[in-house]
Amino acid sequence: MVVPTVFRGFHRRHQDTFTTAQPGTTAESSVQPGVEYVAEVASLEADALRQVFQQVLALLEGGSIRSDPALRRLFPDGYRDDQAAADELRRFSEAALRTGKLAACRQVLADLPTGQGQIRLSAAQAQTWLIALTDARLVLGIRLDINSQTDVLAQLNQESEREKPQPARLLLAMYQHLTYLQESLLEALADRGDSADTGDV
Amino acid sequence: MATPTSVREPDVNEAARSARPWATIVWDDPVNLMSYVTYVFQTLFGYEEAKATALMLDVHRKGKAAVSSGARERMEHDVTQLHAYGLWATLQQAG
Repeated sequence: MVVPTVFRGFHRRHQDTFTTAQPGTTAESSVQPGVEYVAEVASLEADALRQVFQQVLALLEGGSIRSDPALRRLFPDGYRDDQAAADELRRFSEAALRTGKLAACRQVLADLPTGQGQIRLSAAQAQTWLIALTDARLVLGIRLDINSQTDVLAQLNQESEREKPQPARLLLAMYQHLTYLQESLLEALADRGDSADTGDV
Repeated sequence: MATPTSVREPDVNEAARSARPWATIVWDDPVNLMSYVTYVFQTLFGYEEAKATALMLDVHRKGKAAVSSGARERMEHDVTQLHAYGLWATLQQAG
């Protein structure tokens, strides 16, 4: 795995006992009170993340599942060979699914610092972040036409060598960054605090 | 005299079909991280890490894995939950 030199991603740490839960968060319900997941972010990075999640939010709010392939990936058919059954399932599950994805996206936007700062998450918030990060990566994955053969880093290098920058360069960089952010959060969640080495798959 | 309307024999095949359990299938996709898929199986189904990892590897290597089975309504619930986590899942009748 390539570890960017500047950005450290999420890490697990014991909450300062004097720190109270941020208002409106679900820290009370976290599995491990006193533990939080923290990432330092630069101002540019917070802005870039905000833009991505605002775009996902707009897509979830206004996009049509019929016409947008990214939304079709976020809300796939529940039956593979039975369109009538798939439509029926969608009819009673889509609204709740959409509400959940919208809430996750909004929570991420609320947790992002304005300018340089920290993202600080309870275990419950971290779970919501994993979901929102997944949705954002799925949307970018569709836009970038990522398939099982895609080598994102190689493609990113290729795009970076172009004299005239293409929009794909920024999308790829953001996709890679979201991947790294999600990996670091998963590793931090798996870290039980008894070892510096986490058991990643 | 009215001729008796034909009484439909119970369709044995149909009965057998509806008795067969359903399964939730997770399909491989090029975006989701292996560690995340394992995490979802542990979180959603309460599977031990070893079982969750084995299922994740099945999805990765064979392209799909049956991750739960049971009544149709239950499987519709599981599929919807997996969609909430961004995994690509469908349900189908076993066998």
